[in-house]
Amino acid sequence: MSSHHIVFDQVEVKYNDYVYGLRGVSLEIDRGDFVFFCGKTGTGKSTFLKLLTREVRPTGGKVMLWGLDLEDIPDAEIPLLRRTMGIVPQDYGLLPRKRVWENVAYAMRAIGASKKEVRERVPEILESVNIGHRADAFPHQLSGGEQQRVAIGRALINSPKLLIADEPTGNLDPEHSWEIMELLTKLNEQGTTVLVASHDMVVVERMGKRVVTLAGGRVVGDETATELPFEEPIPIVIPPSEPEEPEQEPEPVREPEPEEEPKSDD
Amino acid sequence: MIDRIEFLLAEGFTALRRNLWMSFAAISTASVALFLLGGLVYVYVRVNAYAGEVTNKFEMRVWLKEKIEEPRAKEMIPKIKAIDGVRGVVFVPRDTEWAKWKANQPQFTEGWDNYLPHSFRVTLKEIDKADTVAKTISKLPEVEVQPRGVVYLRDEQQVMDQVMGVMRWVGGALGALLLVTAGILIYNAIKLTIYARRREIRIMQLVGASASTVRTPFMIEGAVQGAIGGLFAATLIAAAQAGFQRVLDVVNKNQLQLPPFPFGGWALGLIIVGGVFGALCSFWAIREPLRYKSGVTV
Repeated sequence: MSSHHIVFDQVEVKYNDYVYGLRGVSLEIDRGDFVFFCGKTGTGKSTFLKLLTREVRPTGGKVMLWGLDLEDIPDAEIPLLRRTMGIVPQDYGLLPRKRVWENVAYAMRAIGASKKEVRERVPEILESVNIGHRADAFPHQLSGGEQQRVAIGRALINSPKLLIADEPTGNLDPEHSWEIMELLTKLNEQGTTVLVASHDMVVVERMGKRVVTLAGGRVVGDETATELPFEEPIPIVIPPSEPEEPEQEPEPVREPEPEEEPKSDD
Repeated sequence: MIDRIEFLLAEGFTALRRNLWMSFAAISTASVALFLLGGLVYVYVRVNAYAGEVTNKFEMRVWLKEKIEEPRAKEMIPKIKAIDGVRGVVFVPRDTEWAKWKANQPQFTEGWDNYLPHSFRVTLKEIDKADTVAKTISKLPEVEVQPRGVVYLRDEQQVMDQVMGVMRWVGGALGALLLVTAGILIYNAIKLTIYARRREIRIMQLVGASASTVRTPFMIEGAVQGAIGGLFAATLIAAAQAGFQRVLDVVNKNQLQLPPFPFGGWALGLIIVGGVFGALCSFWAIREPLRYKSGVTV
């Protein structure tokens, strides 16, 4: 058994005769690592992450997570696998007609948390991603960065040892991108292994973490972490943007009432 | 546990509300299908019960040859009783029968001596064995030759048999066809719900909700649609019987009273049948798209 947290051993993903996701990739990731997967669109970044969540199966080679070959996990146990990780999808995946706290509460109820657990943990989770003050807002009332915070908060409901984020800054301006990266760094410092697919090279370089570069389904670069940026941040230039909507007054975290249920999405 | 059930029920009913028109279509079709199927079953049960009553009343008259005397006629009783399908045999002496004829039909008996032979009244266990029993009895040497030997209401029995046969096949086929239609509608309603709730399903699958948590709300939705259809169907059958009774009252001047429709039992039965049927249709609709498997997320 490997001592590494995650092992990709000669992994190949072939979607059809002409399209490959990955071509014989080998890689090891240790517990507590923070790794960026970089490269152009279609180079296999998302495939890498989807192999870990078992949304994609390798057509060759092996993917090991905590010493367990993911191929050995039957389909029926995929939910259990996913409860060990937090997944932040590229498009945030928020329910538009549920408030911020309801979005997190809904995910908790879906994995069997009781209403009492929901009442106790939702405010904690929202505070941990600095979005507690917008608990009662609907997703459309939030900025992109705030929505991403909610998505990250929702990914924390299982207290995951592994956090997987697909293009978490893809739709964000540099300032909000940096906020999200600070949040991911904080989670990483608490012991969570963080894997991020990104093509936002400015942010990636500023972070100074391990960067795995992909091209054509192959690993073409694997730079180790430098840890420089947080000490000497490279100044970023925020391009002028259209005036934003006036900021709303911060709202206090709303404690859900005991009898209150997440509202339906209709 | 209660929390979980509450969550699943809330999800199921949310889906019903969100797909109101499709739910309406599914419920109304299920109602009509279950009404026709349930109604036909109800009529079949009633006609069957009536056929049983008729069989009990149904009797065959067996006339003996003139020369057969009473002691010999009585010796025949065990032989006739032994025939398959015969319930009972009653010997009717010629004088008894003549006295009855004289009382009931004096125009045919006046001025005549008793010209009747001895006879038997034979009752049957099952009406559809009448032909076989008649054939066997008519072969007995003491029995008058046909068509005067064994007399019974053959036509009535045949009509009854035909009615039951038609009801069985036409009703069954029509009901099955409608059930398939209702099933397809419920299936489509669930498919639409899956589409409408794709975001929630995706979130559930991302955070690792169990397959049953993802699927159960859809099963609840289908079961509720079927069960409501069953309740409506029972109401429609009760209304149809009431309407039919009203027609009978006018035509028959209150002579024929249908037995009351046992609404409670039938409603419960149709709700259960509809609920199970709806849940099965849902299961059919969700089994593939909601599977946790590689390469697929909703």
